Amino acid sequence: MSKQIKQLGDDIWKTKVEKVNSELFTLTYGSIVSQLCKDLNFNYEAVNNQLFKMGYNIGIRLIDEFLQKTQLSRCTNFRETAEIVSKIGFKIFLNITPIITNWSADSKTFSLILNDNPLADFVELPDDGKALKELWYSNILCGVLKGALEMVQLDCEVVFLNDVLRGDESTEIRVKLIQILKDEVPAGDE
Amino acid sequence: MSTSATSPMANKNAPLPPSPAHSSQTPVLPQSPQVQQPQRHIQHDDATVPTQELFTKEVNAIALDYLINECIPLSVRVEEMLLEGQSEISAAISELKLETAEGEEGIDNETQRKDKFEPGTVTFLNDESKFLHLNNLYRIENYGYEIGLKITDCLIYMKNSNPNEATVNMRLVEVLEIMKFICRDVWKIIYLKQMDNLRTNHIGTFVLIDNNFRPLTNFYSSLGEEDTLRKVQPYLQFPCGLIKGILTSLGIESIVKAEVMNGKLPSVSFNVQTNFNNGGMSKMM
Amino acid sequence: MPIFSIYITSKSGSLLYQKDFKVLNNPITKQNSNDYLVIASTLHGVHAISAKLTPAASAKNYLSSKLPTNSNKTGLRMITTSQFKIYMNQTVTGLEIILFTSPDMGQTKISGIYDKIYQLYCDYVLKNPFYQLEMPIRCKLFDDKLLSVVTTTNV
Repeated sequence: MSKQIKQLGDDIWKTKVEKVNSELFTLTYGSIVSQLCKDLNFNYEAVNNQLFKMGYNIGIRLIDEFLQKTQLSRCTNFRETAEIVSKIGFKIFLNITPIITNWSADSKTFSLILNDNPLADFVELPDDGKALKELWYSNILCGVLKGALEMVQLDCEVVFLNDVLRGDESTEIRVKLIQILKDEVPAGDE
Repeated sequence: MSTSATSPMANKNAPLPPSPAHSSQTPVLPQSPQVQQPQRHIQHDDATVPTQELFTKEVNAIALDYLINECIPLSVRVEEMLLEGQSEISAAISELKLETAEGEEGIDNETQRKDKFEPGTVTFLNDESKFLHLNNLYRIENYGYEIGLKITDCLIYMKNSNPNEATVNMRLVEVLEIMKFICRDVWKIIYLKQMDNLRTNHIGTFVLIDNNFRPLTNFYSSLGEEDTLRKVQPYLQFPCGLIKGILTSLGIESIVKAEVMNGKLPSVSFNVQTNFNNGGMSKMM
Repeated sequence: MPIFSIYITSKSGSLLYQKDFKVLNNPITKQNSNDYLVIASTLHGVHAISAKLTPAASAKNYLSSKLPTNSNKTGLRMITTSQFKIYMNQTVTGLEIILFTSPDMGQTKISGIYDKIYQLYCDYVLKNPFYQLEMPIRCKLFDDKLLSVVTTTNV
């Protein structure tokens, strides 16, 4: 199953995706974050918050693009969701496949380890004594995941646990399924 | 409005202050040792091979489109936050001085805050006084400007290291050459197509025309075309800033304005006024 | 095999888009805008009821049918009358695309059309930064593109 998923992600990336240079993407994101930090007077909590909102707004729209391109149907369990997020979602938009790990015993929480992060290539956080502790530079990713999963009725909490930019050993996003939004599951797919 | 020179991010990419393109230690290049054989950047589709070569990695163009578009609502939110900050201060001051205006400000802020996280809404468009406010336009232009400043070196390096492309004249002395560079290379990498036309009056003004400007291809306001044209303006500030940033990084000061041509989306013309009097040039793109 | 009308409803059943196409010998009489709302929400309701009636096990068999894979697996698919068919398809996010067609329209062809419409929705509705989710779709570009899809089908 996992292999098929990977294959599908690779195929879509190769055949159905218009591509742009990754450095350009990095630069663009970098200058947005940089400007945002200035505007919000280096209140990194507010910056994280705004980045998350940006992501959320993108995610709730991007999900349909994703479903249309992949022709995927609803996942049968959360483990399958994780596989698809990593091997197809991240693959077709950012051309990376984060490692899925640290499953909780109840299979409702997992981590995505990003060995490669196109948002943060060559970036160093400002050396103001605060950013390294407070800024989640790539927080937009959490927003995107949150928004996209919510639109397929998976109410999740998505947060950064670690980031190599902060000197951590890995870049880790934690995804926790809070509930399946039963009321909102479109009638027709219970 | 702060200037680029005070950029806080110690992004290695950031030339602070903007350095000329031919500087020997091009700041845009990450200090990566393995750059002997940068491959052609397009159609590099095997991501399972760890590709550390520069300019070979790619992401989905849609990701970039969405990211750039999201700048505009972001900018409006930032503007609101800044205004709130000010109004709280001014409210505090007026309370001190006049001891009136009880809590009104607070209530307003709260109702505003509640609106802000409704999924899928486009409330940022509702208040045109903010959406089309000069501060907003300025901030968006600055997003583009910052990118423009940083991208020039990156692009020149990329082209020159690619055996399949004609090398860029590293000095880019002629302002017309620089404009061609923007029309061809910059546009190609960001908007995946070249500009369609370049005109000049030979005294420093250039008009760059894109008949099918990618970011605007799916814009439409439910209130009709006139409304669309008005609301498109902030989205045009981004490429204006971009052009301006590139020119600045090459030592040219400019004023860039964009407008939708003949009111017909998605054709856009960029009017670039430089401080360059380039008298005798007659060759055009 | 012409398409007579297209309806698009949101996951909550409100009508986002409705369009009748000019077709020779169109058996469907034109309705007023209020009726369109009623039709849309009724179809949405029937779709929901039929989903409720479907045992979960039988939903699995749908995987092998010619239906688009990215649509919900249970729920009403089609209504037939002597004069026309109504095809319904719901995306995983809940968007419902309803097509009124001539009776000779087959499921395979519908799947292709459904996919094209979904793509147009992604490209010209969702990527339009001025569009608010769950609101009626008033995008000229979407209209134009949709019309050309229908025109090619109806030829």
